[in-house]
Amino acid sequence: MTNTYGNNQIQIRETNRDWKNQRSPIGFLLGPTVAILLAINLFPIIYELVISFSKYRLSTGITGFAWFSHYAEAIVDKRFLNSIWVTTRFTLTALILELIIGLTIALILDRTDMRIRNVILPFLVLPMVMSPVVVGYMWQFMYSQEYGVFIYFLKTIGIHISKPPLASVDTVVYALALVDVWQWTPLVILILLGGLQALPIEVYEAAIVDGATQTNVLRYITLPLIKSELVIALLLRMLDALKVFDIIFAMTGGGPSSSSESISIYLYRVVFKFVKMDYGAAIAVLLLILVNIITRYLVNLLTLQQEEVV
Amino acid sequence: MFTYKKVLQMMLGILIIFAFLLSGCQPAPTPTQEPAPVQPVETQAPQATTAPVESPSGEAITLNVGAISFVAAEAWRQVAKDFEAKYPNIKINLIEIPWETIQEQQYVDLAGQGSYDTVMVNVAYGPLYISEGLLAPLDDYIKSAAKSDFDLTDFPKSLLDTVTYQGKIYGVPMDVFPQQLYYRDDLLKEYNVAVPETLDQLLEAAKKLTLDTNNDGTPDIYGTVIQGLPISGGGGVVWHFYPYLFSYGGRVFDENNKPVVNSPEAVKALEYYKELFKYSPPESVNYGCDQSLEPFAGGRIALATSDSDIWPVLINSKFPIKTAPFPKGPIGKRILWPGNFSVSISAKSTHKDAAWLWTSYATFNNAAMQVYGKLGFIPGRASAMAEIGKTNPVFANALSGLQEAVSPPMMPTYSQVEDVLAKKISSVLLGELTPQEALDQAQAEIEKIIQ
Repeated sequence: MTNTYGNNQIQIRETNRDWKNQRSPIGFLLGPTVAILLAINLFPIIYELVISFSKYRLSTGITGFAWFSHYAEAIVDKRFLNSIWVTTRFTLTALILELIIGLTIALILDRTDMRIRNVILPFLVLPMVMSPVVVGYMWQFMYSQEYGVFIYFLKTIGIHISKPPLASVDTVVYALALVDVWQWTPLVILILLGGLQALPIEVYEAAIVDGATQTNVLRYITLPLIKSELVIALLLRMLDALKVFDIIFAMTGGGPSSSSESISIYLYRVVFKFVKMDYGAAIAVLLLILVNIITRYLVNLLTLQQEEVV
Repeated sequence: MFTYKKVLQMMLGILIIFAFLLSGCQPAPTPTQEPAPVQPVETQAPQATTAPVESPSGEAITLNVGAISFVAAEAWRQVAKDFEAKYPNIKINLIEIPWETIQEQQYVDLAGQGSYDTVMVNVAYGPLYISEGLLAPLDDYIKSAAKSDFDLTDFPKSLLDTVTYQGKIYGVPMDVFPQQLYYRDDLLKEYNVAVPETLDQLLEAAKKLTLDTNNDGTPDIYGTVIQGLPISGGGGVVWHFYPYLFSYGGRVFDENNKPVVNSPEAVKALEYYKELFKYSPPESVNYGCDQSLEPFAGGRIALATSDSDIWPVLINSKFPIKTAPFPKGPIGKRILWPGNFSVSISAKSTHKDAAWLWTSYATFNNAAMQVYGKLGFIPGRASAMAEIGKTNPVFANALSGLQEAVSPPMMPTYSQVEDVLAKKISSVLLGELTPQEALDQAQAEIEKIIQ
C-alpha cells in the first residue's frame, strides 16, 4: 500500500513538471489582460514614483532630480500632517459606526421573516445608489441651523447646540463621517447578511442543545464564522474612507479653516490649484504606501482566517 | 524556456525603462540644472485683417473655444452665431467648462495637448498660465488691428493690469464683476434702517436686522451673509474679504510686490470682518458664493455684499432686493476687487489669426456687448460698461468703485498666497486665532511662498 501510494505521489509530481515544461497557451491567453493591467495600473505608479523624485511641471516635464526633497517637505508639512489626522479620525469614526450598526441590522434582518426582509432591503440600499456629491449637498441642508432637519431633531429631544456641526472645528469631521455612515452602512449590511445567511444551521442547533446562551452563540459561533465577511467589509470601507474626497469637497471644501481637509482634498489642492505635480506625486506615493500597509495587514488576516477554516 | 516569473520581471523592466524614456521625451534641460525660468511664447507677426481667414488648404477652420458653463456660455452661443455669419469659414466649437473645475481643466489642456484655441481665463490664475508660456502674447495683433475692430484704449487700466505681464498683453478683458451691496428693501423700511453708505453703518444695520422673530433663541433673519469658504480664487472667503481689506487701506502686496498683509490697516479690516461674521449664519463659514445666494434669495438675509454677476440670480427672488454701491471704508473710499474674465489665445493654437478674430469680436464688437448687457453681466470694454451703467442702475452701483479697484499682482504663485490667506481668515472667524496672529502667520507663510 505504502509503495503504491508513494508511486502515485511521484507520478503526480512528474505530471506537474511535464505540464509546466509544456508550451502552455495560458501565458498567451493571460498576456493581453496582464499587459493592460500593467499599462493602466503599474505604469502610472512607476511614472508617479519617477515624478516624486524629480523636479516636474506639466508644461516643462522633468527638469532635474529632486531626490528625497519632496518627501522631506511632506514629512514636515503641517497641512499634510493635519490631513493625515483628519483622514484617520474620519476613517475610524466611519468604520466603527458602520460595522456596529451594520452588524446589528444584519443580525436583526437575518432573524426577520424573508417576506419582510425582501421589502426592507431595497429601501436600505437606496443611499448607496445616490451620487456622493448629491448626498453631500443634501446633508449640508440637513445640518443647517436655520432649516436643517438634523438640528430640528436635536432640539426636539432637548439638545441645543450653539454651532451647526459643519461650522465647528470640533465636530465637522464627525459630522462628515456620519454622512459616510448613512450612505455606506447598507453595503456592510449586505455583506454581513450574505455571510449570516450562509451559516450552517447544525452548529446553532448543537449549541442550543448544549445550553449556550444567545450572547455565547453570537460571541463563539456567529462572529468567528462571519470573520471573513467582517474583514471584507472592513477592507472595502477602509479603502474608501482613506481616500474620501467627494463628500468633503461638496460639503465643506476642507473647511472651516483646514479642519476637514483630508489627504485627498489636500492632494487635489497641491496638484491642481498650486500645480505642484512633483510634490503631489510624493504625497500620493506616501498615501499609496499607507493604504498598502493597511490592506496587506487585513488581507493577511483574511488569509489566516481561511487557512484556519481549511 | 521562459517562466512566468521571468516574463513578469521582463515586462516590469520594460515598463520602468519606458517610464524613464517617456520622462526623457519631455523638453527638459540637463538633469542637474535648475529649471530655467519659462519665457512666454512669441508669436509670428500677424496679418491685420478683417478678411476671412483660411487654413493653408483653403478649408474652413474650426476654433475650439473654452467657456464657463451657464451664463457666459449662453452669451457666447449667441455671439458665436453673429461671428459665424460675419466669418463664414470659421466655425466656433464651444466647449463648456464648469466654474468649479475650470482651472484644472484649462491648465491640464493648455500644458498638455493644447486642444483649445481660445480660453476664458480668470484673473486668479492667468498669471500662472502666462508665466509658464501657455498663452500667446497679443501685442502684435492689437497694434495691427483696425480701430473699428479693436481699440485697446477702450479698456480700463485696472482690467488691463490683470492681463499684462512683463510689458506684454496676454488677454483681453471680457467682463468684470465688481462688488456691491444687496439689501432687502422691505426689511430696511420696516425696521427704519437707512441704506448703509459706510462699513460702520453696514455693521450697525447688520446688528439691527439680525432678528429672532419666533423667540426660539436662534435668529430667523440674519443681518448679513459672508462667503467664508476657505478656498483661493472666486467664490471663497478671500475674494469676499478683499473689498473690506482695500477699503480699510490694507493690501496683500505693496507696489513693489512685497507682502504687507499684516499691516495695522489689514488687521483692523479683519477685526471688522470678524465682527460682521457675528451677524451672519454660523454655517456661512463654509459658504461659497452659490450657498450664500440661497438664503439671501430666500429672504433670510437682510444685507450682503457680493459680486455684481450674482444679480441675474437674485432678480427672481420674491423679496424686493435692491442694490447700492459697496459701503465706503474708514479711508473715505470704496476700493473694489476687479474680478474678471479675459479671453486669451493658447500658445499651442494652430489657428492664432482666426483665434484673434474671435477674441477681438467677443471682447469688443458692439453686438457682443449688447448680448452681455441683456444677459446681466458687465462687459470689460469701458464704453460698453458706461452704456450699461447709464441704462441699468444695478450695474451703475457696481461700477462706482471700479476706477480705484486694486488689481491682483501678476504672480504665478498667487493662488497659493490666496490659499494661505483663506485658511487664516477662516481661523479668525472660528476664533482659533486673533486677527493679528492670523495675519502675522499669513505674512510669514506668504514670504516663504514668494521666495
